Amino acid sequence: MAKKVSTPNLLLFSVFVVATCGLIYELIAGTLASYLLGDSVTQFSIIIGVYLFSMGIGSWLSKFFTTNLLSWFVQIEILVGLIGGFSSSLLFVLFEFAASFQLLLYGLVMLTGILVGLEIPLIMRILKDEFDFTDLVSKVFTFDYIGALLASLVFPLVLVPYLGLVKTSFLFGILNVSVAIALCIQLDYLGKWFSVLKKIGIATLIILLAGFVLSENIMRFSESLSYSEPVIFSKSSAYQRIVLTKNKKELRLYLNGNLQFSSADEYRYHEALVHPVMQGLPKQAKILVLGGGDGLAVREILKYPEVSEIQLVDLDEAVTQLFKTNSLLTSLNQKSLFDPKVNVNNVDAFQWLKTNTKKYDVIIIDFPDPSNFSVGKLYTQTFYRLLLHSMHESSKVVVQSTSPLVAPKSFWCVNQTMNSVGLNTLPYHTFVPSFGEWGFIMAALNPIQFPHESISVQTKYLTAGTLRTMDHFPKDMAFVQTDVNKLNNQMLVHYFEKEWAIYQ
Amino acid sequence: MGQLNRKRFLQIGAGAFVSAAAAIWLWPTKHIPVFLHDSFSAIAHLLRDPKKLSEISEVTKDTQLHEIDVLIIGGGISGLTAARKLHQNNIPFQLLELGNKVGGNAVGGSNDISEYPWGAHYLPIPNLLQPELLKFLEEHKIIVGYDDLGKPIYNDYYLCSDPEERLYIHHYWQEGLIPDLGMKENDHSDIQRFLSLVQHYKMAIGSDRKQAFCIPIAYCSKDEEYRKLEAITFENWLTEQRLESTYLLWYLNYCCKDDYGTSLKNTSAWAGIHYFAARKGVASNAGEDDVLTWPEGNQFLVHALQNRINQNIQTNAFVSKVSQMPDKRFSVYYTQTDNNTSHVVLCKQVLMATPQFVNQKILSTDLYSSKLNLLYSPWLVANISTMPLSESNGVALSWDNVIFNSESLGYVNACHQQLKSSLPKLVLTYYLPFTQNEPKEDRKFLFNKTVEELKEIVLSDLEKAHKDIRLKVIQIDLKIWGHAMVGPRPNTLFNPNKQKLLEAKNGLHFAHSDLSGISIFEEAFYQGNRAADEIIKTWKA
Ligand SMILES: Cc1cc2nc3c(=O)[nH]c(=O)nc-3n(C[C@H](O)[C@H](O)[C@H](O)COP(=O)(O)OP(=O)(O)OC[C@H]3O[C@@H](n4cnc5c(N)ncnc54)[C@H](O)[C@@H]3O)c2cc1C
Repeated sequence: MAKKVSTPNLLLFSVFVVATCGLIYELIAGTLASYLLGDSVTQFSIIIGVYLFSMGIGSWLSKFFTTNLLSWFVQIEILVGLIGGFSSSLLFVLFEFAASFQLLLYGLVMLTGILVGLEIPLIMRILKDEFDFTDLVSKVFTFDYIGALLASLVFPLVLVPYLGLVKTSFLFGILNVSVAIALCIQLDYLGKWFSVLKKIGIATLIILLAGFVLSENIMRFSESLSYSEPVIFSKSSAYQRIVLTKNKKELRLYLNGNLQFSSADEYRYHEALVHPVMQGLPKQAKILVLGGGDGLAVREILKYPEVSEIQLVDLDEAVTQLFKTNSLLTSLNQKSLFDPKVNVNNVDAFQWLKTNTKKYDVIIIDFPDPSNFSVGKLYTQTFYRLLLHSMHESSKVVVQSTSPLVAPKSFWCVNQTMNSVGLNTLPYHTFVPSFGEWGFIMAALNPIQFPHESISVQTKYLTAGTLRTMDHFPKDMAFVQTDVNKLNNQMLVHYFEKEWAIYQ
Repeated sequence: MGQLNRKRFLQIGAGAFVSAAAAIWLWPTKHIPVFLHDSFSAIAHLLRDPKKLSEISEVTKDTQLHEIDVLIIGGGISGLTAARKLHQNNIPFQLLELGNKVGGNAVGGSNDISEYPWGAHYLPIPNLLQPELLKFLEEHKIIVGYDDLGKPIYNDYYLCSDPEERLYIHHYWQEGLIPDLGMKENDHSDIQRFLSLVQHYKMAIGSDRKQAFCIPIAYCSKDEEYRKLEAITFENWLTEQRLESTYLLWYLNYCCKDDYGTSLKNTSAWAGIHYFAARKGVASNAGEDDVLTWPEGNQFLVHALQNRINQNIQTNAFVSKVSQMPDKRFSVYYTQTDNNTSHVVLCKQVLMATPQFVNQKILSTDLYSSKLNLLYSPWLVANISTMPLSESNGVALSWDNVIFNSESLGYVNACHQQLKSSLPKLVLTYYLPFTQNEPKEDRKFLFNKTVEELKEIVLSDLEKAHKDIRLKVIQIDLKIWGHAMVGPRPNTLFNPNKQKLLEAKNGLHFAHSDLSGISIFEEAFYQGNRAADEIIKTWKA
């Protein structure tokens, strides 16, 4: 019979597919783990270890399968396809909810490992009558290793850059299941059970295809392609899309696609934001930080021994959590968020100020740029008026206020708005390579002086010489008259949109 | 593998693809829960059945008897305003309200996402002709002070935040509601001409030295020059002026529906012009067209009004009959609907802060014979709890979001005034007035629809601007206002019969905003105060 001759070849082909798919699932798990948990060396070695060990368990378990080997083979193949296909989207989605993500991750890796581990011994036993033993071993393992080679080449070169993790796992799930279906068609003559299996296989295939097509919608993972550097972490919190990218020289954080900092020069930004306003602190100084959930401003604040208390208010728990757990990030902020002086509250700053009754000596405001109406509210007259309630007579405030070079109207609008509630302002600026020329506004109820002499703590960037240039505004950034930013006009957002439009 | 039956394999593959496609297509049809909230339909039914009405107004041995000096019937803005004034003048009174809370057309609701309006949702910055209103706003810190020029400074938390309005037109959200995108030269010039015409009316002073158009209507000039505009429809007036741009006509029709629940055809030219020429708000920190708004809409103002008079308010009280006794006192029959007890109140003065279509049924004929011919159009209001909807190009989600060429008025974002910088869920309040047919027919049409059908009306309309709405919506809450607003149809506003009704007689007073003929907060507030003043005068006499 013509059919019978080809079955062994089809089976050998499926060894190849299983091997490729198995390794791909393992690579996906490893990559995902290092994306989500950081520290790729540890993650990869644990995953590979767990995977290989599970394959061992699978091989050992295979001895308990004594009859209906072909049907078991097909069933396992479908199961591998289903689990592997959904593995990455499952991990991505569950990362946000799972209490113990590691447990889930290793559980999934083990399960795939065991199932793949079962397949090789099963296939060898199925084929033992078709080939002589030496030939069989050589054939099976050749296909196995070719599959592995192919997987490890294709994965980093083609799949991750072009398809992304989610699509890749669905694609290989589809491949897995298609082979199973092909086998069922081939083995149809062996009885009704195979046509049932075929139907199950087709149903699984449909689910996987749907997953493949919808993956973009569900995960919007394709966005990883829109960043020029490799994305090592991405997550949608309730408030924003958090993306972390890394290349050889720097780590970058993006919130909703806007660059928040680059590890290469963030110290320039944060030193300029924090130190000028921190000079002449009273004893037992209380500091309030609004925004700045990255803990980088806090890192600078902690350099001052006079500081007794730091209250950090950042809307997004996902951000503060990330900066407490990711090892790359905690080494950047020097674990500042764990300092006993620091108290973190994850609430909206506007809301928090409304209920706050404490007065702070220094208030550091590090909100995202006013690129939309909801953030624009945090730069309004109403907001600064509310801020006054958290200040005493000699409190000082500083606000990051976008680029006075690119967006002079926006910058001076913040200045104007702060003036309008009775604050004396002191605008200044500095150069941060990844942002450009950047502006800040220092303010207090009493007239204030810019500290030209020196900064009382260790710095990486600021010197007396730099300080002397910071509050001088050259002609191309000079004061311009603007409207006051109010809730019912949102002038700042309008200025900002216009001024930054050419850069979008 | 060469032996594999390729044809079959391909067939299966194709089949799988088709099914997958079908699965994706079917995906969005997740079921969206929908709830229809009670709008007193059972009681509306009673009102239409005079026999039943008189039956429940019969005194039995179980009827409880009460006595009070002044009784207010109806706890909408007009009734509450009158109550506030009586309270300030230490006059003993009781207020009976049909609903389980006061507010009438200005009630709001809430869920775990936000508070939201069911009806009235904003108050435009008032003009300076209404000192009582300014005082009220001051009492409740809505006005926080006055500047050097004497202009009120409004609480900036209550001024509608920017961006205020946007219009979805030609697949784009443009800023503001006056169409601008895709118009031809003559459209622009018609709009310009219309705006300068109404600007003229805005400044106009009548021969009696009163403003031609202002709020409240009672203060408007009686000059025939302007009054004659009341006899023709807005549509005819526009034709006379040769204003023909379809964009302009759409916009004006939208405005009439928005403020009056009537179409261009059914609005008098006077009322149509009034919409544009009467608003002369004055504020130190806002423009004359700015508005005050709250997540719960005018329920906020209801709370402010009811604040000190809670103990005088009786809710769930359905008044079925008001008649006068030989001793000139009034007997008011009401059913307490939450425990089904019947009551009679004897009082010296009654204030009817109820709409005329109700008064007509519950007042005995000797007390109410006026033929006013007022018509009230029905409205459908939907509060849509949703995740943020996908946005097409243009202006970001605003407070008021209108879709060009839609039957509806679009939706208001109930969460707009929230100061949180990011909201994972929102409530959008969608308004749909029915103006196509006679109100009676529209009401029948509306009340005969199933909730699912009503839901479909809402979703398929909003789908034009938000393709993913069915995926994002969490829940829809609906309310039908059978008699939402009185329509300022030609020859209704200055109907002499109305004047007769307003003249107080023997302690019977009227205050509902439908007597002004235009359903807005300020008119209800005006009517409430006017009636309260009459009562105070009688009381003191
Ligand atoms: C959908 C909608 C949107 C609106 N939007 C706005 C807006 O944005 N801004 C604005 O200014 N205006 C708006 N309005 C107009 C609104 O009607 C007025 O602002 C104002 O609330 C009217 O108050 P009122 O006291 O005159 O009438 P109502 O609110 O009608 O008050 C009458 C009261 O009498 C009660 N009642 C009736 N019959 C009986 C009975 N037999 N026994 C006891 N009690 C009875 C009713 O329950 C009700 O509470 C809107 C109206 C609607 C329907």
